[in-house]
Amino acid sequence: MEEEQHSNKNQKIIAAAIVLVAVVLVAFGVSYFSGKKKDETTNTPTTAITDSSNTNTTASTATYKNGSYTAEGKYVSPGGQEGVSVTVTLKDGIVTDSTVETTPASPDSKEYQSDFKSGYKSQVIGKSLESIQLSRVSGSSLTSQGFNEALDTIKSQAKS
Amino acid sequence: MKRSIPSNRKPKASTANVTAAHFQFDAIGTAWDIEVFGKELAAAKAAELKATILKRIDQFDKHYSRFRNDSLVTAIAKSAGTYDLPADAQPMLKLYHELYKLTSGAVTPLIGQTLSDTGYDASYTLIPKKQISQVPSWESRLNYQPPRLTVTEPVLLDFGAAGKGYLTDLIADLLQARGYANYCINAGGDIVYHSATNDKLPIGLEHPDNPDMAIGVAHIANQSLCGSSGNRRSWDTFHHIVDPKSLQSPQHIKAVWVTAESGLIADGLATALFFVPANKLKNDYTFEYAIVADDYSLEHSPHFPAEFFTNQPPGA
Repeated sequence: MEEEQHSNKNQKIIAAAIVLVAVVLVAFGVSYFSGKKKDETTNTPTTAITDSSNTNTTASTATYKNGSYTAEGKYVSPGGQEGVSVTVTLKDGIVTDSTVETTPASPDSKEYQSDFKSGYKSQVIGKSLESIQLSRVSGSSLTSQGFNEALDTIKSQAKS
Repeated sequence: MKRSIPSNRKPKASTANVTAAHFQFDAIGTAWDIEVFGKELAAAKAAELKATILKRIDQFDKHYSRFRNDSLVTAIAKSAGTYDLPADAQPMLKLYHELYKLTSGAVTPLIGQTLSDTGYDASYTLIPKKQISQVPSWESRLNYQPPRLTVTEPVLLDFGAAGKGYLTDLIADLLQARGYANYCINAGGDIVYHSATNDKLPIGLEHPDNPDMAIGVAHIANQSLCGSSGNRRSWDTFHHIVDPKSLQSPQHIKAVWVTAESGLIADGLATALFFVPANKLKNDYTFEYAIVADDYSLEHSPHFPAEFFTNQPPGA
């Protein structure tokens, strides 16, 4: 019986986590923020994201202002109202930091939420090369002039 | 009393970190940056060294490039027969055959026509054909008994998976043979660094979405670091790696880095990791790796020589 309740609660936590993820996705995808926005700067991100993409770059240039965005998720557990808050810092369209904070109301929730948090994968964040003062970089194969020119031609043809 | 002036520089009298010669140029479709450290070279000597390097690269290109009409690879694509391959083919084909077996055919030099059909061809068409060619099996086309390669049916070979890393090894050999022991060769992000005093060189690990950012800093000495990522060399839905089974470019990985004793191994394994988990390769090679997945999560071997910039797991 108790086990059944457990799995029930687990399902709720999972559901809450899914809702949370959805909130974050919405925050990124449709510029809909249920939370607050701080540290906004006036820099407008350029084409950081489009570099990685296809020939249809014209359509996919979504730009977000630099700053920290916080989305909060709330749900009611048998122990009362619970909250999870995710903060994401954006610079030039790249996530440069993110944190998850939880505000568990009951001891049970504390346990479940820490389970949720340990399942949260650590993700890479970007730092500008200038700030870390590095001149040598390893990554994608730097392309030659020829490839870049060919790609530019294709892109401009796709636009016209 | 005279006091020493505080300085950020290491108080070292050695010339190991002083640039003796610095060459930057485009070759084999990528940007090269070669720095030789030590006592400054006289202009004539530097020019001679650069010419020797360019000649070696051109020789490699003339044998193994599928983008050249006059290459050995182009000849093999035109007619079946038995070819005497140059001596430097053996280590490369050996690695390719090993990786072919370890990845169940995913890493293969027989992918040339397929890559070309996606638009990655000699003239950088970058527009996929309606019909993308299937990839023939190794056994059906090639029989390699060094130095002889017997080609049963014409086939377009591609050495893009490990060729660039291998070429950095060959240029390192060239420098070493001329008595240079401190140098950094960077062929479009595939880097080999040699230091007689084993000083580590910091290298930024490029953010897969933004070439002006790094997601970490690697420190290497006397080894190779190769990276592979679909972000710059990409067109339509493709990048430079195509899965022979799906005929699509893998999208589950944003970037891979491998360190190993040679550029050949590091470059080849970086490609292989797009297809198989590191576990599959660890018995056959000594290497360290880091993978950034499509959700920006990071997986790396315990001793990959880098610090990473990550968001801390909550509560950590």
